[in-house]
Order: sequence, then structure tokens, then C-alpha cells
Amino acid sequence: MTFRGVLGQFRDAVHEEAAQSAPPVFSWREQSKTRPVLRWAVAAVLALAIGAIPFYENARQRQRAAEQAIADELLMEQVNEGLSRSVPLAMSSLAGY
Amino acid sequence: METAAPVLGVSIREEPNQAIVAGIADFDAVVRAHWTRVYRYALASLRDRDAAQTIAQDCFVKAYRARDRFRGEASVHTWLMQIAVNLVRDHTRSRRFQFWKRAPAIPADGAARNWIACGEIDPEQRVLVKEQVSAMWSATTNLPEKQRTVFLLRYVEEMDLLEIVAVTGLSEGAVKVHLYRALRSVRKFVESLR
Repeated sequence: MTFRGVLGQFRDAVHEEAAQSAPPVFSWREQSKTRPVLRWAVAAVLALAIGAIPFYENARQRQRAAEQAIADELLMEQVNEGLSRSVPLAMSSLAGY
Repeated sequence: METAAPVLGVSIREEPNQAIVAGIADFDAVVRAHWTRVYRYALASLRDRDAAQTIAQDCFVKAYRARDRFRGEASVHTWLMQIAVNLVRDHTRSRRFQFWKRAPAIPADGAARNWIACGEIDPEQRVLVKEQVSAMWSATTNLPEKQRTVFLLRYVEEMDLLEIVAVTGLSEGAVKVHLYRALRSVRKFVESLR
């Protein structure tokens, strides 16, 4: 068979195969309505997530500042304790501490 | 008396072609009339019934959503085929990047391979034709995207050159070049099996 003949057979075969398909019983009108709703929902969730980032960062910064303040206070207490000692730490047992 | 000068950068919208636009008023009728052709193009391109069904469905959903913007510059068939060509192209590209998701390919041409138009040919010849049809389909699906599109629009959808230009947005020269290259590749592949 010539190439043109095979080409014709190919076309007829594809046509025959496709003719077996009928439009699905499918509410494409509803589909076209629900998709934008879904898209809006996804966009809203994303916007909320992005909008929440500054608040989250702010809260983390405040927490870090609070932890730092506690650590500083402890350090200052330790320093003050060291300064107020009348005898060196090594001799504290002899001095009755 | 002054006449309104055209303002640069502002395109004057052409009047919609009412006759063609009116043709999509009954969208159910549009689906019934064009389903097979859209599905057939997707099936020929992808060789996968499920994917072709999804593409055809998406094509009509997209067209339905865009029906208010359809101004009848082209026929309804050309408009739908433009959408289908774009969807098939996007599908092929996304599939290329999702190769790990793909199940082993099951050729969709089972029935097509068994369907041979001329019943008079002898069984031996029939087997050969079946193989050649299958080989042609394989060769077609392996063509580069533009060549495959142009080839299928010409030889499966039987569109003329200007229709292919309208559907693909390619120039006439480009369509001819893609068609020539596609034909050469497919012929070479099919003849190598003889």
C-alpha cells in the first residue's frame, strides 16, 4: 500500500475510534461556576497566610526579646553576686559561707 | 467640522459577527456538534482516551466561560480548535515534567488498529496495514509539538492551509515547513518498517 493509502487508513482509523466517544453527561456549566469559587478560596487562604507572616514574625521577636531579658537578668544577678562577695569563691568555705 | 481622529494605542473593537456569535447561544448544541472533532484531535495527539476526554471537556468549559468574549472573528470550529490545540500543548508540556506520575502507556488505538476501512484486502495485507497504521500513530505522537499539531490538523482533521494558520497562529510559511518536516519524518518511520 502506498504512503498516501496508509495515511488515509490512519485518518479513517482515528475517525472511527473517536466516533465511539459521546459527550459525557457532565454539568460543564456547574464546573465552570465552581472552579472560580475554588480559585477564590485558594487565593483567600494564600492571602491570609501571607498576611499572617508579619504577625508571626512580630510575636517571635517579642518572645526572643523576653527570653533575652530573662537571660540578661540572670547574668546581672550572677555578676552582682560575684561583686558582693567579701571573700573569693575559693575561700568561701573558710569564711563560713 | 472635526472628525474623530483615531487615538494611538487604542484599538477600535470590530463589531462582532452576529451570525457566528448567535451560533453559540445554544451551547449544548455547540457541544453536540463539535465534541467528536475536538475529542478526535486530542485523541490523535495524545493517544490516550482518558486524557483526550479530559481535554475535550476542559475545552468546552473554557469556551463556555469565554463565550461572552467570542466576537466571531473565526468560525466556532476554528475557535474551539484553537482552545483544544492550546490545551493539548499545555498537557503535553506538563506531562513531560511529570514523567514519574505516568502509568505504563496503554495505546488507545486498540479499536482503531482493528478497524481497517477496506474489507476486501487479504488477511496478510490487513495485518500489514494494521501495523502501518499503528506505526504512523507512534511516529505522529513522537513528532515535535508544532509538527504534530500541523500534521494532525491537515491529515486527520482535513483542514486547509488557511484554517491551520487560523488555529495555530503560525504563518503560512511556517505551517508549510512544519508539515513538510512532519511528513518526511512519518514517511521515513513507516517505510523503515516495510
